[in-house]
Amino acid sequence: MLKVRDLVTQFRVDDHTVYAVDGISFDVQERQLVGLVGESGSGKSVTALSILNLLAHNGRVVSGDIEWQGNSLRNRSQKEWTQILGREIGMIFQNPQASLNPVFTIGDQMIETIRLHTKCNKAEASEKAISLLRQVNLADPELRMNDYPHQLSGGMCQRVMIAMTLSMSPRLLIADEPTGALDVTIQAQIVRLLASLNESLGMSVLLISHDLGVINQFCDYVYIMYLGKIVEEGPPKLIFESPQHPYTQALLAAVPSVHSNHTYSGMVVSGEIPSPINLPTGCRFHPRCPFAMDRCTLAVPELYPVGDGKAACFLVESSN
Amino acid sequence: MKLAPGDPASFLMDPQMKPEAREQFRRDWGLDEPIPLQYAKWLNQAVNGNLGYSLISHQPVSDAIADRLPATLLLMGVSFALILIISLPLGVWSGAKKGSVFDRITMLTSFVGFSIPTFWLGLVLILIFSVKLNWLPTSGMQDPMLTDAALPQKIADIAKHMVLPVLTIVIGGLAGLTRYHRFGTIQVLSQEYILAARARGIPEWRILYIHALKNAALPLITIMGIQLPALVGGSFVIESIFGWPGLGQLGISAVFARDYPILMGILMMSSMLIVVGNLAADFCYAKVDPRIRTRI
Amino acid sequence: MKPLQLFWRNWQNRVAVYFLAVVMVISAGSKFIAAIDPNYFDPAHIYPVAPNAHHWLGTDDMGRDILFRLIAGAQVSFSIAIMAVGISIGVGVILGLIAGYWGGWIDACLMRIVDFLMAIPTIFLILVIQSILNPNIVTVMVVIGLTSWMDVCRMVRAEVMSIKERPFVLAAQARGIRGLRLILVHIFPHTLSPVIVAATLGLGGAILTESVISFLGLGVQPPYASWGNMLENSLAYMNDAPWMILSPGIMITMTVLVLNVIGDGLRASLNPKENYVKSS
Repeated sequence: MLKVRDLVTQFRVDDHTVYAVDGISFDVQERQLVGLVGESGSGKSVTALSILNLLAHNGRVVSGDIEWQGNSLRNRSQKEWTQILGREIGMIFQNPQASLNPVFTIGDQMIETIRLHTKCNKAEASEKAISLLRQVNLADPELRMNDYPHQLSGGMCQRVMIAMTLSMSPRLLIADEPTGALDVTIQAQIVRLLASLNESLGMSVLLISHDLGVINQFCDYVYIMYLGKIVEEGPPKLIFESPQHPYTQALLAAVPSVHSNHTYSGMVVSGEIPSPINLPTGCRFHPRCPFAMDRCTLAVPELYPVGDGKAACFLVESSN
Repeated sequence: MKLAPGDPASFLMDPQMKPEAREQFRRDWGLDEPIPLQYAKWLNQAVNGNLGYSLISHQPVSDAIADRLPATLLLMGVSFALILIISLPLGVWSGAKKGSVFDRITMLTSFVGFSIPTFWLGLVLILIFSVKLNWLPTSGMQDPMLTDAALPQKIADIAKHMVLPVLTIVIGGLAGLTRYHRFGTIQVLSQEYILAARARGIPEWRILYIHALKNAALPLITIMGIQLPALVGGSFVIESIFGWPGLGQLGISAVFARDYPILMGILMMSSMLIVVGNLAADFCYAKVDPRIRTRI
Repeated sequence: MKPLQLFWRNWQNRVAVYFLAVVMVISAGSKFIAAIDPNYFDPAHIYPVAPNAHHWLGTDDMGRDILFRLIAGAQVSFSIAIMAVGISIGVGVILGLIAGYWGGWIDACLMRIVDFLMAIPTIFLILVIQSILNPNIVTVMVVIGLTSWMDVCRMVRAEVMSIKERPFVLAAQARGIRGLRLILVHIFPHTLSPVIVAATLGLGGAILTESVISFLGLGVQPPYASWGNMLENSLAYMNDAPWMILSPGIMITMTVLVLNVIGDGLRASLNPKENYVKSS
């Protein structure tokens, strides 16, 4: 359904060109819940914004193709975008409280969105808003309609955001770290809500997260990103039980695991994530990789198939 | 004080007057008392609503101010309204199109407008539109020939007299506010809720003039409050250049005549205007911003 | 990149600095050239003469050369602006440091005074004070300085209040540093960049204020020339001698513009990340 091929997005920062996303490819199928994982700064959010043509002024998609239902999304007019945004592909963000306009009530914002996409009067829109808020399990939806965003908790705001997105019944929902700013108990509720909507409405979800537990539990397919590149992909079972790329292994090792008994305790990544202004040559992970070889500093590894998945590491290539 | 050339007594009195008479005059008007005592007396009276009498026209200060207040309120009201109406869309648009040709021109113009001495701008406008082109009257508020004319004619006449002073105040005040609006808009447009609204497919004009505008207008209210003293002070000078019969002209001529009761009255009046303006700004802010409303 | 390099990279900033330097050098150097006498006039021509080959910008109502008066006036206007800003920054910084550091009732009192003074239209207050005093160059400097320190005071106070909670100040206190040494060595330097910006913008403001009060006859008195008092009689000669109005006003506008450009450029290069919403 959504097909991204060799997407490259660059930003101009002062005099530097930063390649935030550098040649990534991935797919989201009908009814699928796909996970995109990576540390902050790995280019996950930029990927999402590139797809929806919502990049800031200094960023732009340089090359690659984004295909939606068989048609390219690149070079669409502003008018076409208003038809696609929300109605076809919806998006929710990391900080739900900041995603709602502070000077309008929840009701104002919901009614505006509903009336933008369906012809109806205010009363009908308001009724629909309340039923949607009920659908996302928001308590006392009638009262909440007159509240301002600052009067609601983060979790409640995220439910409102989800309800607002649902009102346009998109075929795909991109959720950019939807639980990043929430309490742990609320996080689980929100992700469970997304998973249930994915199930009941058949809406595809692209879940961007660094929470491996959540990804493991709900996703059908997982992509791991590091510094603008996809380093490993595959079904969660494969990724979590036999990670191939050293970076994935390190990520898993960093999680103080509760359920999993696979601990890669030997894998401790040294150093900081390099600045995207000054990218390492060759494999981008080599400065921090315990298995780095001379070759890694020179050539960029491709994604080599491993079982049901793929990994971009020369270790994988040589083992095949 | 007595040695200064600015003794009101010397200004008021006939220079031929005998020194004894001069002393008598001073005593009558209380000008021989020490200044702190004069001020204390004035304050005591002012609290009771008595602002004293003009040293020149002998009119009660409160009457003199009341006579002039409507003209000032008219001039400032019209100017402020225009400044707001013009600067808001201008600033929002150039903030939204940051870096565009429109934005660059607006910013350059506002920088220049910011640096022009307002009184000089007034002089240049008089030079161009009254002296050279002879399109508009140089000064005053009404044509003395039209005192008996019908009301619509009178209104048209006043409007004609207002064009230049209003233009001067508006150009002077526009620059600062346009810049504020622009920066406010740029800041608001970088907020996450704007991105989220775009992601919902809300058209750009709604984003700009409904979602962003209300947020960008908030700091403006306080800024209006902060800029008020400068605008009031500036319009005083403008009034005196254009001979506009308002508080400012009264005040500036009182400065030269050293008519202290009038000066004190006007200082108090204009400070009161500013305090009231600030209170009104705070009130509006609380009305518009829901985050403050619930706190009160 | 260092702030000054960042500042210098912008061509507008460079043009502004060059302009200012040229004006200052010419006005300072003119003192040593006897031919440039701002007060010389030809008794046969005590009336405005239009610009010509001899008087490039014409003469004023007394027959004095306007270009020479502009050059002499630059010196007066700049001296007044620099002294006035010196006074206002000095008072503002000291009171701001006191209010911000000690807080409590001192802060409360100072802030009420600031509020009170800010509620008075400054120009009018200056005119009233000048009318009581015997206006001359020194009173103009002092009065402008003493009526324009409130913004700086508020700004420094706010800075100090946030700096004083920062870890390095707490660390200095933990090492036993307190009082004046703490304020001057550990707090004050961190307030410098906004103060520098305020001072630059303040220079432009002071030139504008000086021009208004001199125009009204309550500022710089003849025979001294200032850009403001050159306009004093221009209103009366508007019809016959428009050149008397134009050149001083253009000089004021250009100079203030240039100072605003420099101030804005300094702000941008001292705090590259700040959105500078607070520009005044």
